[in-house]
Amino acid sequence: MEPSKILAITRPHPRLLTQYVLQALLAGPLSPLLLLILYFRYKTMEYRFDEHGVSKRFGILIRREVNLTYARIQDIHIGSGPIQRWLGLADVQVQTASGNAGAELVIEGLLEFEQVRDFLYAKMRGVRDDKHVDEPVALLREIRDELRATREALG
Amino acid sequence: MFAAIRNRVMGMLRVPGEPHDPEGQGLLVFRAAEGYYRYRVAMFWLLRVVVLMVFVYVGFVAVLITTAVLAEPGGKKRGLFERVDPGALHTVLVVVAATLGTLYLAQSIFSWALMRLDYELRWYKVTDRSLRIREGVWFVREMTMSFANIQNISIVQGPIQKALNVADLVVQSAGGGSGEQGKNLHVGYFRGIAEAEKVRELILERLRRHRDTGLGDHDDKRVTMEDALREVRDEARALHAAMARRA
Repeated sequence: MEPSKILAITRPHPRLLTQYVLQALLAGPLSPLLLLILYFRYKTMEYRFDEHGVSKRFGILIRREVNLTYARIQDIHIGSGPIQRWLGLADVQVQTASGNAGAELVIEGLLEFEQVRDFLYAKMRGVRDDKHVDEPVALLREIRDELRATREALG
Repeated sequence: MFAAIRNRVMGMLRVPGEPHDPEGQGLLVFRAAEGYYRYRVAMFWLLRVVVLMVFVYVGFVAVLITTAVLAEPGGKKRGLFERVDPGALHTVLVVVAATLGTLYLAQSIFSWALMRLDYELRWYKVTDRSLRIREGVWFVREMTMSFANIQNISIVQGPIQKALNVADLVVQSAGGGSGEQGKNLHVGYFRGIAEAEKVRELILERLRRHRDTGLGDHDDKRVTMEDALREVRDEARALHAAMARRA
């Protein structure tokens, strides 16, 4: 999948609402309350993937927003229960090196969770670090070759 | 037949197959050893025995207490069982025992199947850059860590695991926090692998080869950069000399 397609993701898939409804029904007597909370959570959920990081925001009474820089990502988990797998969804849990034992950002409700994981993973520190060095070096080599060509043309 | 049921259940639960390979070269795949399955079964039976012992103890105490309470002061002591109709008591006991027994059997089969699947559905993939751990049947978890972030590797082995020749390899990344076991997302477990020491040495060796592990960043990158800059300078110098010759 093209990175541009991932950068274009802003909303979770409608199946997330189905997942929330099923989850709420499993809560027993608290179902109606949970359903309400989760409904608004789904309605207000927004993702933003850009060059440097990813953010997620949701909430109607209490607005919450999480911003993560790709370079600060520590490890990535994919977790899924039977309901989620049935709907073809999974949670992508992203962690930084903060003292938190849980995930700092959970990207939920995306059918392309595996591609999102690979996308984030490729941008993480220590996976493709060489690229940052290789690029200037390649540029310098090009300058050298140009200089050499000039010298040879002179000679 | 077992395979058919198994595939049916796994299809219903939509359990995914083998995970994709993580980024990097030199892929090595480790699986849980046979001993891990036997370890899980052993722990399962140990737990059952303990629970059974607790039940027997509680039942014994309950009978003692009711006998003492029901004993008529002054008169001859009458136990709980002498007060009820023996025929009715017999029926009740048989029904209760049959229900409990069936439940117990069903639960045993279910647990056994789950343990077996949990053992079969484990993948530990290691490349020269990262590792990926996949586990779980009901809840499926897949974790990916890059070597650049790994802080600590340790081995945990209890006495039963030692006897069965398996161990857990624990990989920790920075952060942590004191989550309860299994909930901490900064820790990865290679559960039940044979030759844990070898795997640890292998990962450590790959960690060392990795350029910036932990805090001390090496300067290898600067070297290639400086080489390239030097080449450009030499070329510019040669160009200068060529110009001078022409002039």
